Amino acid sequence: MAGEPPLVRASGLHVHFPMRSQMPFRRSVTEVVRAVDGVDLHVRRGETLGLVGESGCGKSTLGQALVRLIDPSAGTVEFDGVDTATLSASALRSLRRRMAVIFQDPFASLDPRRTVGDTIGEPLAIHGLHRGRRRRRARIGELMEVVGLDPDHRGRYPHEFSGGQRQRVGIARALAGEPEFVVCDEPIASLDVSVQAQVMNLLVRLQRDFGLTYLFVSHDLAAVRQVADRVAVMYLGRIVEIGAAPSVVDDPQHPYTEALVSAVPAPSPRKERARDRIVLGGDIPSPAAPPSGCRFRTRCPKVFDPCPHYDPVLQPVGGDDALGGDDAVGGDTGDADAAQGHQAACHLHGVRG
Amino acid sequence: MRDEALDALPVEGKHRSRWVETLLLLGRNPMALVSGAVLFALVVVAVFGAAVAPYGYNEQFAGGQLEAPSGQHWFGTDEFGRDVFSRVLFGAEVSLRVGLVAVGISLVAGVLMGLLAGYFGRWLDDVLMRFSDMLFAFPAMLMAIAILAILGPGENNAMIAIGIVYTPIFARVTRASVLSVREEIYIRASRASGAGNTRVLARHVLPNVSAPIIVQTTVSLAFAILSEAALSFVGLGTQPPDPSWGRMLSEGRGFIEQAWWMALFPGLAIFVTVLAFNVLGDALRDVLDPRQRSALSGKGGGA
Amino acid sequence: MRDEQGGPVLSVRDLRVAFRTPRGLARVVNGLSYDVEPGRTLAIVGESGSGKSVGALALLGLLPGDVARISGSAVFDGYELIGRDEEEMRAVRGAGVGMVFQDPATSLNPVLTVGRQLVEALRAHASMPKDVARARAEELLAEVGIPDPRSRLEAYPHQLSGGMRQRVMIAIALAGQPRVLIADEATTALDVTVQAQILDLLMRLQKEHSTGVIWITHDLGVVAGIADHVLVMYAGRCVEEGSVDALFERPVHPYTRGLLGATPVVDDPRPARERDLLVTMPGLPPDPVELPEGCAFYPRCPVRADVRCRTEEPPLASVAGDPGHRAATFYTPEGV
Repeated sequence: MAGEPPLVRASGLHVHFPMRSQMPFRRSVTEVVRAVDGVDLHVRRGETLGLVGESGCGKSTLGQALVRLIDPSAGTVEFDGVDTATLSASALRSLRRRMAVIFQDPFASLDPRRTVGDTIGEPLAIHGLHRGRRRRRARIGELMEVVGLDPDHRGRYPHEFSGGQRQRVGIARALAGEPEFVVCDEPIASLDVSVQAQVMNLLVRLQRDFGLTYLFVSHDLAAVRQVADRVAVMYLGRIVEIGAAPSVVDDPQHPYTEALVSAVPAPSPRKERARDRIVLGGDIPSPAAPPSGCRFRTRCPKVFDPCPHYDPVLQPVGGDDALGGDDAVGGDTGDADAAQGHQAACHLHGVRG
Repeated sequence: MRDEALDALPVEGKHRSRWVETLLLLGRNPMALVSGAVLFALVVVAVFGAAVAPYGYNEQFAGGQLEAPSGQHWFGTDEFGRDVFSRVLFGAEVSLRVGLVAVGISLVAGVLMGLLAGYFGRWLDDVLMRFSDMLFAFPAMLMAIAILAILGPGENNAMIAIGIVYTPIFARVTRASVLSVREEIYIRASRASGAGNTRVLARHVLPNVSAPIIVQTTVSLAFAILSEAALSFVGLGTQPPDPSWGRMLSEGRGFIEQAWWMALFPGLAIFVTVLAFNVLGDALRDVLDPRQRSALSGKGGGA
Repeated sequence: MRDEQGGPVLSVRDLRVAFRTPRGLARVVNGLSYDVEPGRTLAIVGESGSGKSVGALALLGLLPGDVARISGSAVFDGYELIGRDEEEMRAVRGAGVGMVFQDPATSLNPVLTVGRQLVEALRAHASMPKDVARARAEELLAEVGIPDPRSRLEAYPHQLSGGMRQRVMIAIALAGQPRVLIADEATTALDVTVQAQILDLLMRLQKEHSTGVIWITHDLGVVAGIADHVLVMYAGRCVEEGSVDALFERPVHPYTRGLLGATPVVDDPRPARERDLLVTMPGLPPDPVELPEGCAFYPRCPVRADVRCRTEEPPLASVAGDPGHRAATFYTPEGV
């Protein structure tokens, strides 16, 4: 597992959205929303990396920046060893065949005026795959079958389907170009519980069948825990904790992850009564003006002296210290080996900033 | 025609082309059918006006000036003793042509401007929309007159002038819809699949902004026909003695107390035409929307 | 005013709601009965289209009268709610029964300040001078945990975060000191850490005022944490009900069991690849216009235990040896 280079790697990634005034011809920047603010991350071939965080933490922006749907303001995104910033517009477009996105809202992510067959076939048309009317039709039917839809419904429009079926259409579209890397951006958030389970199981099966690599972006820690091999926790534009899923979720090392895990309601009254829920005070600060030092310090129950002054970096925690802590500091140079362990960006594990 | 449409629909129509289905659905709406029939009749009159009209458009009946409607002159006669009914029939050609061509010009130019300005934004938006604001700021008639002062009077130039004057409305309507559609997730999804700007604009943006554009088109047709009337009235559009509804309406105003029929019938012709365009436009808008389409054809959603 | 013997504050019996649609009559709620006790929480669980929200809106007369047909009975504090006109219902809404909706972004009027909306709510229930209402509004904001309530009265909804807006909605719902509070997916749109705050707040307020709460949700996790009694709805009917422990520890109905199996859990120590797949129920809930004969869950049911399932609607019957626990199924799971 160790030797192989990661499929996707982000280094020092920033995505800032300048908010411009609406004056014609003088669109001066009024403030800058730092949606992603210095992220180092890699996704290994064949794994599922879960990315959790609350609304506004930048997780969706990060996911879309990894497939270059949003251009980074600084830092690099490498796909299969190639820096995507060096690619021409047309080279980037053909690279899009190898990566795909499944969007959250199955009602908004399908063009209401195109049949689902047209929607699923769009990547084929764009990349000139399965040329010829009959062959393309057959391929669309095949894709629909793979995701559990009736191929005879290819001529129907999105509004004629239920939410779960629409999400299957979105998944079929994502699979059409036979991608290697799929960003699942809150794929189950707007679905009913029983349909969520269907879609999660489908995603797991597709990964197994086609050797897909997933970035599973979600606010739902239980869902992430169900499908992800590794988990990254995001807060206000930064990764605050990352590691193997059982390790991060069952033994959180960052106070934010701890609060997040403790806030997830368990479907068991016995466990709920026994639970000691950590209720955080206050709201998430504005990503346009993050706090100095550690971004979580304004809500952190364990805040202490260095927090306002030093911006913590990801560092190995717990039993993983043996891996060599110093390698992980300044993660932009860290290699895949050092990042395998459980890391958290918190001064409780040693003040490093 | 209508019964046929009703019978044909419930049959499984999977392989029927979308255009045929659109027409069949339109046929189920009685209002659309009536408007379609009216417009069809108008086109026939416009093309074969000379054959249908009982008299020549410039044929004068000596001593028969300002006669009230009668069996001989259905719509009465004007101040020169010309048959108003015949002139209304001949006028259909001019009014329809001016309306359609002028609106065609503003439709193409305005939609293109709106699409580009709304989709690409930034400086292109600023330049295009400020230009359109400038056009918009002039009173429409003044603008048209100014353009005709440069181009010279005449029917063709009037069409161009009216086309230019109504371009900013289309640009605005289109841009406003593009601004909201541009942010839709399905646009992002299409880009994620590798679609370029041309494809996104043609396959996703344009179809999804068509509804307000169709409505604007039918409204503008009415205004274009009226603008032609106004331009002709000040002598810059259709030149006398050629008939156009607008001209006739304007001329009839002077005789409204002696001969109400001179203004009423061309006015009625404009009214009926505009109404027909509006009704057909609304029906078309509904039929072209797949969501409305299912409701119309009785297929339930959320299968 | 309060019932001395501590009986239910709201009793719903055989509530039915149907909508006239172009395709026919959509039967959305089909005979729902429950009691709400003061100070206790009844959770109504179901997926979209199960009728869980419609049933609550019907109680408050918030359904469009021209298309909705409502029958049955709902007695609040000795007062029948069903069949009342708009004016009579207005008196009940807020003062007797308060409601908190899912989306705090759209349930507040964006062009009015928070204070103005609160004052209006207060004065709708009791005539009081403006300054008294304003002082009371400030108190309410403080009570729902909004810091610096005086200045927040001047804020517009968009200036508040989602959690703060939901607190304001709760304050508005509490303005008339309701004895029953209906929370319709009240924390669904919120982040988990904010949800935890709101749940804490509601439980505290419930205890202080001994309010009866109807908690409508699809989220079984939330239910496990806050409910006393749980009612599971499918296709407009109650398919299973019981104490929160009975329902989660000893579920009987295949649909309830399916829902629980479909819910991923955080605290299973196995890595994702060694976990079992989630339990899924194939297919979709039935179309309310064409409800199947027999059990509505039959087409999706993994058990189909009995020949009667297809033709006969299973009655809501007591589960043997489990008082208060009832299920509408012919199936009896082993080991229960």
